[in-house]
Amino acid sequence: MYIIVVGAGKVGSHLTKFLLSEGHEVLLIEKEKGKAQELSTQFQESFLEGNGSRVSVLREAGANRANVLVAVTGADEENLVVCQVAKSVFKCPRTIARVNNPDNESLFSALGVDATVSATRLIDSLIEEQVEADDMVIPLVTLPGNVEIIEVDLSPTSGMVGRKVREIRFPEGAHFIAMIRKEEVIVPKMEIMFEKGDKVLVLVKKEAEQVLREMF
Amino acid sequence: MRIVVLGAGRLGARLANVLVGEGHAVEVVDQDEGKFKSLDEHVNLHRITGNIFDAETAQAIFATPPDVFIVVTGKDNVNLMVAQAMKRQYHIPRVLVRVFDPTLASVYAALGIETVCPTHFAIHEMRKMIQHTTT
Repeated sequence: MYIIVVGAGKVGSHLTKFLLSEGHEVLLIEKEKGKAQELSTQFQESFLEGNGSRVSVLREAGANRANVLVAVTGADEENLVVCQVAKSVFKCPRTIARVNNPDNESLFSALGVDATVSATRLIDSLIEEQVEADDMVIPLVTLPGNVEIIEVDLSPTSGMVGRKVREIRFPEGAHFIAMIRKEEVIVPKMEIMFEKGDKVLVLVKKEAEQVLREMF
Repeated sequence: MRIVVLGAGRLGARLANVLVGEGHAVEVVDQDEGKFKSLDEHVNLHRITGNIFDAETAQAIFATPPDVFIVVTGKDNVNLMVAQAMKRQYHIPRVLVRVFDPTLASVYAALGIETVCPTHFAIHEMRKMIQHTTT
């Protein structure tokens, strides 16, 4: 794929590096002259100095053949204009904008930006997920030697849902005991599949608990 | 008519003075209070200090939509975003936007935004003047 990235801050530079390592053709555009020297040393022909919200710059970048354009500058108005120009002038099939102010997400999608990424929103949801994850784990029994039996509610988004018992490798220090499905304890067999809503009972040493939580 | 002008720079302030002189009720919005010094003192000319991207400020200004919203800050991208955002959210009948970049002005004009580009305007005027001298 040919991907244009506008804005060479931390997000833009890392994204470009990642996309290049994935084997894509990438062009990173940055208008700030002070950054140009370093960026052109680092990215060579994958870097273009210029204002990405200018039609002439996007033309030079070959926006007409870009599969995706990603606008990740620190200014929402710039990201919006870059995406709108890419869409309306260059018929770019997919435009993605970073929104620094999460309140702008709905506006951007209403104005034709195909996808938005909000760091604030992302962090919010990660924290929420973490809080929910913590709520899901209920200690049932505490045993001597820092060992406990815990119950974990499998959320629909858990990576374990749809996988069989034999496919799951529990971390060192954790032992899968059984699952409770619709009030009924299911004695584990290798071919049984985890389903959403299952409560999973695990015997776990305290030091393995964090690793275990990350599995769910 | 009730007209809101965003940006009290050279264009915004002068335009506001002219419009008030023509009998319109004008509100001028700028983040920088210092810019208001070029505005005339007039009973129908109001100054609002604030950031239009701040939801409370926008709500206070547009709760009753003006007949015309004129967007003339010094930054094209800001103008284009504000114009589209406010037009959409507050159903303002007419939004006029100053865009310095001639190409960008044409692109957004094609998208249905009423843009005014000083360069386009100067070219147009000068061509007219040249035509007058040759005939």
